[in-house]
Amino acid sequence: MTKREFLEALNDELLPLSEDERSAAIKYYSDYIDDAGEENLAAVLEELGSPSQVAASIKADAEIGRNVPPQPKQAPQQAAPQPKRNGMSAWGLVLLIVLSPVWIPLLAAVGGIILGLFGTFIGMLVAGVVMVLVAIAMIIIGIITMLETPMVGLLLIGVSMLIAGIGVLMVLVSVFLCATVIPAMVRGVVRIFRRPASQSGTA
Amino acid sequence: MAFNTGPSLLDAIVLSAAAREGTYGYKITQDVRSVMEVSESTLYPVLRRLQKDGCLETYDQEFGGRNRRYYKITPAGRQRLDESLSEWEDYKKKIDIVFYGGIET
Repeated sequence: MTKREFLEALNDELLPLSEDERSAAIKYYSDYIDDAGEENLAAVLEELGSPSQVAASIKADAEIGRNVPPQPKQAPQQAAPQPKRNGMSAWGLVLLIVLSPVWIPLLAAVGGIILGLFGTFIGMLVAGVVMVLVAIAMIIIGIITMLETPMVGLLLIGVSMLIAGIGVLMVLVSVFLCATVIPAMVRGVVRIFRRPASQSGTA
Repeated sequence: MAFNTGPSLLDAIVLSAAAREGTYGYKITQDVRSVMEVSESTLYPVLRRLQKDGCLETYDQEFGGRNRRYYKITPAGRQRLDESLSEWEDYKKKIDIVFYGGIET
């Protein structure tokens, strides 16, 4: 590439800029190549990079310089993430729709499992309460029986206390499961679904 | 150079190079490149910006059968350079204290 070819290509690249801006840049690089010397032409052109690379550096600064002269680094950093974020969420939405045959049944299945577990726990709770009630009734019967045949009465009371113990245990276990396990599962599922959304939001 | 050098230091070096008599793009670039690793195409945007800020001005003068564009520091540029130099002086003192211990104080 000769000096003339380089400058012509650079001029073409800089056409979007004002005449003043463009001629200043051409003059600078024309001087630069001349001052570097004929014998260094190839090395200088290589070091400068392609005309489009040189033009990009000039354009970037010309545009920024118009808005914020003292801090050229600030403007692109603030401007850059904005369109990127929009692009990401748009893609996320498309992905969400395209993958809906996958995630809707999955969501339904998870919901079903949680409901099923909830039902199981309710069942355990009711069973536990009933067992305690039965045990109380049996203790009363046991006390009455004890008046006639003390040994049978004692056996009845003992067995019913055992049942009452198991019933109380079941109530406690089902309350614990309802209070901690299900909310934790729901939270976990919510987090799984929220994570991709929040990631696309911050990226 | 092993140390990170920000755009404000680059500005100060360019201003300082342009503060000398009769300097021009290629020479400024070589001066800056002797102390800082910058590519050859980095300098023009910096010079152009400093010119727009009113820190530098250009004039054309005949040299070797052609007109060469020279850069000259303006009073505003000189003021900015002086500010940078005193900031550099402060910075250097602090770094020296950290590097070599409280010799400076």
